[in-house]
Amino acid sequence: MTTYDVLFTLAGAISTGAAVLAVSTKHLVHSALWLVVALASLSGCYLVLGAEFVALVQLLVYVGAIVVLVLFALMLTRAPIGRSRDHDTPLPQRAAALVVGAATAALLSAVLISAFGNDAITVRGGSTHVLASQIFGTWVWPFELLSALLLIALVAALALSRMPIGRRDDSEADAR
Amino acid sequence: MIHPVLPMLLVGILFGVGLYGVLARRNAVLVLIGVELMLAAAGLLFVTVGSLTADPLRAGQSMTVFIITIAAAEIAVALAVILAVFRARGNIDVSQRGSDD
Amino acid sequence: MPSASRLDTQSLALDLVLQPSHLVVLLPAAVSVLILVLTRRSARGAFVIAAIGGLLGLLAAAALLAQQARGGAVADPRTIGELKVGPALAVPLRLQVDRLMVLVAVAVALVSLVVQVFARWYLYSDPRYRQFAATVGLFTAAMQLVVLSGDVLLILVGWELMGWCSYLLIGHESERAKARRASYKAFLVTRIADAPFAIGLAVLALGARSTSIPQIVQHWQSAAADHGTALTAALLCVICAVAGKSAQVPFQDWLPDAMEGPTPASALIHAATMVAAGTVVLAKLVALLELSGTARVVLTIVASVSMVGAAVLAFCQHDLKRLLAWSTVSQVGLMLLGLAVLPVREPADLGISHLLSHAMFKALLFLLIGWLSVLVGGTIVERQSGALSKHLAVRWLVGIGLLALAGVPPLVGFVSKDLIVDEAARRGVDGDVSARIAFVALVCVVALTAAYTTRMWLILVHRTGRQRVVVREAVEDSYDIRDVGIVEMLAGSPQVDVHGRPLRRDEPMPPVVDDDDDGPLPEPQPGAGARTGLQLLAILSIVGGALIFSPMLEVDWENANLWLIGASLVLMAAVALLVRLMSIGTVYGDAAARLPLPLRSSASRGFDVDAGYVGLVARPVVALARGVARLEGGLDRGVQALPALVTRVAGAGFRLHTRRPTSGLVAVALGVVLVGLMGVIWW
Repeated sequence: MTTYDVLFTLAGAISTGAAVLAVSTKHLVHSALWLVVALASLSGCYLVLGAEFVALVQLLVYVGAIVVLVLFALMLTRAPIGRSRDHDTPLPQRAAALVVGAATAALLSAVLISAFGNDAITVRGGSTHVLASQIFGTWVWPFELLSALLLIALVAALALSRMPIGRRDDSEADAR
Repeated sequence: MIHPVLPMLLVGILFGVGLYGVLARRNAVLVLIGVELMLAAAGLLFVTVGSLTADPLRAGQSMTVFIITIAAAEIAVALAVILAVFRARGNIDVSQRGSDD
Repeated sequence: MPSASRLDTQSLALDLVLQPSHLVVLLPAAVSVLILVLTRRSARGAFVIAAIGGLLGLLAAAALLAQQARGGAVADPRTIGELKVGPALAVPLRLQVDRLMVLVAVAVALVSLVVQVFARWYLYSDPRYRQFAATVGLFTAAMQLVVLSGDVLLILVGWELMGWCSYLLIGHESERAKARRASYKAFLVTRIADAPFAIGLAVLALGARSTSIPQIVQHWQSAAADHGTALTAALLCVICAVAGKSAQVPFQDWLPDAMEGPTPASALIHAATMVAAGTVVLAKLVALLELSGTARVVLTIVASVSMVGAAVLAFCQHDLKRLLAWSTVSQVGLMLLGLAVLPVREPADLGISHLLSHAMFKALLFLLIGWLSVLVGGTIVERQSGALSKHLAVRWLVGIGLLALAGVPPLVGFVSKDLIVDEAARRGVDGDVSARIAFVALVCVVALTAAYTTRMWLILVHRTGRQRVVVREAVEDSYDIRDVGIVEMLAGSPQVDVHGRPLRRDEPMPPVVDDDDDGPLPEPQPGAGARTGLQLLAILSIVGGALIFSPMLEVDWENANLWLIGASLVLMAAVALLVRLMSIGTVYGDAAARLPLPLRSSASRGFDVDAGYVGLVARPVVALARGVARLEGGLDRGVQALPALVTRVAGAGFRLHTRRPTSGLVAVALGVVLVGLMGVIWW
């Protein structure tokens, strides 16, 4: 049990617990907030694994942007405040989902562990400089492609939000 | 020094929890949260494997960055879709029956 | 008309496409077509066509006979040309004219003509006389086709046509349930027996690669050594059909029931033609019969059993017409025995000669019993008793017919029967098994025939005490049942007309035909033509035996066993005496009245063979049909249930599908996990 192991276990435990709460809480907004905790502690895991740049991006993008978007979505869809049982599917389906989720977790863990073994390995972290040169060197074309993807997603989101669908448009058409 | 068991275990647990969230939630936004957890598990796997192997190209971390970017785009589009569905149906309950038309 | 240059006066050969043999077949067929086409309601017109056609048919047959006698007949006239069915089978469809078949054709034409003329009188008041005459014409054509056919395919055509026509004729009075049942029975029984016929003929024809009878006979005579089993099987099939058509055991029971038909039809079908058709077909194939010992023994046994059994039944019958029917069965058995005990490598002269003589006297007897039934109003013993002693016009004719049937010399029945007995005895002495069986049966039949003919005669000439009084009072000029003299026996029974239908007392009798128009007669009697025909048949019954002296029949009459003849005559005389003694003191002069009543009533029903038919064939078939229908219904329901089942499954699947995205997603995820699990495990 090394220091790394201890730190990773701490961060991982927080992340796991927060993730479980995020998918099981009865409060909609709490769910989003537990997601923040889970993702933030996951960035701690990234730090332990020596990927400090990724950890920072995770904090910025996920915690800063995505969760805010999720909260916006909740508000725009008039999510109820407070405990509610309406967010979960019926018990049989939840039981089935639990089985499936547990089985997936077990399967995935078993496969990955058996694939990589359990020999203690030195973490080769740091070197954000190398990562930067690689992203803008080796991976520059995928990077540019991603910027195009972001642009397209922006336009698509705009187009979707302006699309004339729903009862409101029908009623407007009727009014005219 | 780190034992690879721990991150791998975390990857599996996060993915399973995310899957449970996708399957067990009715609200579309909560389903989206489950998807985010699964994406996060994937990113963690990339980073872990990248750290465990001597990779001069830093493919693991690069990929994680890309995934986070894609997740941002995905969440934006998903938000737009959810809003459109909300406008059309009045709710975003994914367990509600679809209509036959 | 044939031009003189085309007629060879020496041999009477005609150099034309149309031969007399064609006319023999075509004229009766033309009669039926013309009657149905030309006449609408006129029975007289129908009669004119039928009589002229019948006469022309007889003339054509006579011309054919003359040609044959002078050696000018074409042996194998073409018909509609060869049927081309490929190299494996030649179907020439030719006729076959030989001396025996020409004689049979003449007999058939003669009987048909007499029947047509007689039927005009007998069915005068029948509204469906036209159809009757047309059917008789068609029937005659079918029989002539069988007789003159040189091709098994043509035989089959004529054979089936006869079966159909006999169905029509038996069921002529179709308003009566009994007649309908009798016609159905005759049709079904012969139909069942006919099924193997086609198979047998097909085996014979395919073996010979030709349907031509001469070629079939030629082929199988050389191939019998190699393919004896096939030949035997084919012959057994043919014998089965012959037994069906000729009403031999075990198909015998349709013939007595067929007496429900009008008497002229009975005379035609059940005396001269249809029942004899089996003999004709077997006579054509007799050369093959000689090659198969099994088939010959089977034929002998079938014919012997039918002959003796039918003779016993004939003696017990309560209805004189049924007596004649059973005697027909017996006599046809005699003909078939004549084929079975034939001398080796000889044509079928013995069987055919008895066929000819039987056609003469049995047609005569049937027509006379029809006449008598008109006179006394029925054919049962009570009504017929004493009929002849009142109606003397019929007496001599009946006497001749019965004597010929009994086989009293020198009548025709004696000649042909004695030849068969003689041959059976000769071959039996030589050690032939079937001939020995046949001889024993023949001796029985000689005695039994004498018994039932004597019984019939005694019934017909019986005089009761009451009748003597009536005779003394000289009031025997009425056909009314009240004056027949057995009124004390029949006071309670309803009076019936010629069709056996109840008659009201005040209703006039059916009008009596008198073609002569020479004033009212004291009793109904057929027209002059019909009486001439009957007299002709009677004369032929007397002198027809002389035919064996002619070159047309090649029988060995010179070496007759006189001791055997004498013994059989003594036997017949003794039996006749016994029957006479039995009849003394009975009410109707009926010798069978001495027999126990259960035996008589059972015999009247043919020993309840009908119930056997119903139990052995009809019921299983009906049960099978019901089973098949049930099975079919079950299948039908199953098939109809299948869509319902599919609909239910689909409905269940539809209900199972909640149309909720998440539940579907659960299932998909589960599936993916399972697939992954399998991949991990089996990797």
